[in-house]
Amino acid sequence: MNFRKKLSPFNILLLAVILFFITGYIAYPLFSLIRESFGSLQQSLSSIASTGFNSITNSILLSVITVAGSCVLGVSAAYHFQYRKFPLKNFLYTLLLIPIAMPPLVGVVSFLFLLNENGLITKIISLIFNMQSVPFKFEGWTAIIIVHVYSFYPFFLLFTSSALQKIDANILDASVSLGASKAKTFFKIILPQIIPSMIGASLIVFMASMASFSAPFIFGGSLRFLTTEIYSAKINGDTSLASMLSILLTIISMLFLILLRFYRKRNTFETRTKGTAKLSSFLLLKDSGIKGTIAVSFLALIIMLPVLALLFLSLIPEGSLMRNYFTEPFTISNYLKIFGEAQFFEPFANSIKMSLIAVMITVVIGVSAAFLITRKKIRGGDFIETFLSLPYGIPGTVIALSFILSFNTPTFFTAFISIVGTFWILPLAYAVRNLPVITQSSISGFNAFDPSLEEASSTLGATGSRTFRKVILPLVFPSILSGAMLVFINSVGEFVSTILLYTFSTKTISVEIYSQLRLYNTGAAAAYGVILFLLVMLIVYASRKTIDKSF
Amino acid sequence: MSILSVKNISKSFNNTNVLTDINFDLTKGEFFSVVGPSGCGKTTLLRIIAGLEFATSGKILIEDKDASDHLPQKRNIGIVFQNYALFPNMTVFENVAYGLEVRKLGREKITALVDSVLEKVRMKDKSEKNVTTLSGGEQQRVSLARVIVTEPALLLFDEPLSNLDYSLRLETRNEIKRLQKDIGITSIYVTHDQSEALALSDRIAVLNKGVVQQIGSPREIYYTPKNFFVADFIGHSNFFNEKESSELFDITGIGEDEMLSVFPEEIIPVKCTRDCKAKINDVQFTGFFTEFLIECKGKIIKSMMPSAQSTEVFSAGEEIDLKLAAKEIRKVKK
Repeated sequence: MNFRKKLSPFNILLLAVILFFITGYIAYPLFSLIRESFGSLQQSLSSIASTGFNSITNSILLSVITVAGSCVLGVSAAYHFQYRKFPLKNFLYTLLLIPIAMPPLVGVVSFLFLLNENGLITKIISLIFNMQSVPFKFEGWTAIIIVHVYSFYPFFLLFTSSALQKIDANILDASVSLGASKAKTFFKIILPQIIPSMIGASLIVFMASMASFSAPFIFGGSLRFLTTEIYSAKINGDTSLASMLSILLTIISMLFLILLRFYRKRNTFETRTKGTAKLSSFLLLKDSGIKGTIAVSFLALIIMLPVLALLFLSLIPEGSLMRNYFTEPFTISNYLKIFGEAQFFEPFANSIKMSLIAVMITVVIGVSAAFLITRKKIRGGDFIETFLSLPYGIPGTVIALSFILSFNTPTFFTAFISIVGTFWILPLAYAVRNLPVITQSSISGFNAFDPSLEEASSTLGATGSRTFRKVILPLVFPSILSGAMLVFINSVGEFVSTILLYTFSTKTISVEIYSQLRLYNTGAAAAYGVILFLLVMLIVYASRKTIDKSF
Repeated sequence: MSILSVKNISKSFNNTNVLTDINFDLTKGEFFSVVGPSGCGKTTLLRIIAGLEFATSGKILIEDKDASDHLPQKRNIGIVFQNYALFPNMTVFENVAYGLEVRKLGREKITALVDSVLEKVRMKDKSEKNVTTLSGGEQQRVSLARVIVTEPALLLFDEPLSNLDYSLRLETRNEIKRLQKDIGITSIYVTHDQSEALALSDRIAVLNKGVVQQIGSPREIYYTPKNFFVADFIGHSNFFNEKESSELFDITGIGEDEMLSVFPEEIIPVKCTRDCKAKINDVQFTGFFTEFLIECKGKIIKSMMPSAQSTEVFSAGEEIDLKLAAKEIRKVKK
């Protein structure tokens, strides 16, 4: 519709809530961070310079390598899936996407249990070759890069797959039938059409890798990275240096966010085909039969190995790690402990409570904003959207730090209470981190929705609120649900900002995994990891089912 | 009493006029079409009547009451949308019942009304189907049922047939006409297809660049076009100036600012042996009609003959003479 609609009092209330949240929890913390970094600017700068800007160059180098590795793995897997036919294709595809749903810390811990000195593979190799010392050390650059590629390559797989699917197969058949070889068809026809998606995935992976904390924190040793430097500066009480580094990290990240938005605006080739586009190319599709299954299964096995190690170690008794644990009988005592003892169950309950609160906050803010922006076309809608997407470019470490700086004194935004050290700061931080997720999914939900449905409803006599309840909401619901699901799984295993914000009474699962690990209670840590992993998978599965059923 | 009065409606977007001073009245039961090329403002006019957009100036009277400021909910108007706009989250039955639920009729009454209207559009057997599983023609019939069941004072059609294929379009067109006569509901039908408008309407308004060119019955519009645009858009006429008219057809008396308008079916190619005036450029056999593109003194003339009536066969490149078969001489302003 070409004109702005009048806002009802309820709309104005929603708008007020959104503006309050943006000012209080996004703008004000960023302001505090900048103010703090000017506290002792000189000192911070010389402190960064004294390490030769090591943390910055390391972070960038790590991200570049991660992007390259993920790209090679993800794109070749996507190509294989698109143009080969083999048994169990769909099942294997799902397996390959598992790392994307895995909380970062769980991924890191799984690799620890697979490859560190007492890890599953290390143990097996030592036993087979009867070695006295460990055959290799899983740490430093290699370890971080392997974990990063493992965690981030699914972005390339997903993006490239969907780009490949959009290519009209007739174009490919045309190329092959004009006499082009398969290689020529790939480089001249397919590649140019998937490059935009690859750029999109590269930017996302680069940002994620810059903001990654868990892998550098656990495997980094004495290596300096921006996120871990911020953490240690904060722990050492040098908040000014921490703020300075945070701002540096945020600027780099924001630069990529801007690039990403720019790229999305002038997106891709739009192949307009009348009628239904043919999906699979007759000439390119190759039935590689069981050989294809075996090749992909091998990759799927590598993807599943860390998860299996996690599961395996969660089933061996506490304290048997140093021994040859293959001879020990399996036990579920680690699980019994978590569900049986209050002190072990509490982190579990905390995580769920906090994640649910974060979901509620983000749904209220994100859905209302999306509604006002898309359906009511409010003035300043672009501005609100930009602000709500901003946290996407702010690494979790930085959000946590800015919260500490802003809310360690009573403020208007927190009902004049200092919320640092309380339960509430955690769900609020999770909510801010995840606002972009739900805002974007709701906006695209509302945009996909045909405005003539709303018009049909109103000409049939329905009031605005009836139209919203009966027509708009049911149609936008799947988008909101998938957004809410993402918020929940991102929050329930959140580690990066939690480790800066938690106190003893507000421990979450991820923090508990980390502290059990430090106490060498491998079994308990692994059991928490398995539970978290299963919980996330269950939610993904359940919401998929609901979304499929709603149409 | 008129069901709808459109009084001096004008609309501009960003200082460009989309509609300029539109006026017409509809009497009860009338089927009125608004026809014009795409971008002429016809859909905007429809949306203003429905209350989905507001005019820059002018008034909309529904059943003699000023409704210019009323929201769509208050206007008692039904719309059949080009893309059907069925609610994909509801079944056929639920879609049709939607407008009745709003009016708070009882469950039993709603069921009875919905069943009977679905019977009318021959969709009764699919009433529990999800609308997304229906074909285009079926979706359009449901969308029609959803509107007529609420018994609106006025029914608006926004190019309802343009997403259907040819044979389905004819079938649905007949269906719309039948239902409209059955129920006697006043309707406005917006389309860019002049044959649709001619076939369905009691009266037609021809719209170009936001200005009404002519309003009249299908025959009036077709046989006495007021200007060049109407003759061209509705009748696909050939036009000849004074000189051409006298040279080709011995017709005189065409003024400086006038053109002779001749329909394609009024120009008949005849065999010629010498001193031929024209040449056939192309012959297109389309079944019922055969169409000719004739080149004559540097001008391309359209001609069209019922295939069954033509005793002679012409082929491209053949030299011919032209015969005028018009009953009357039509002059239009340039």
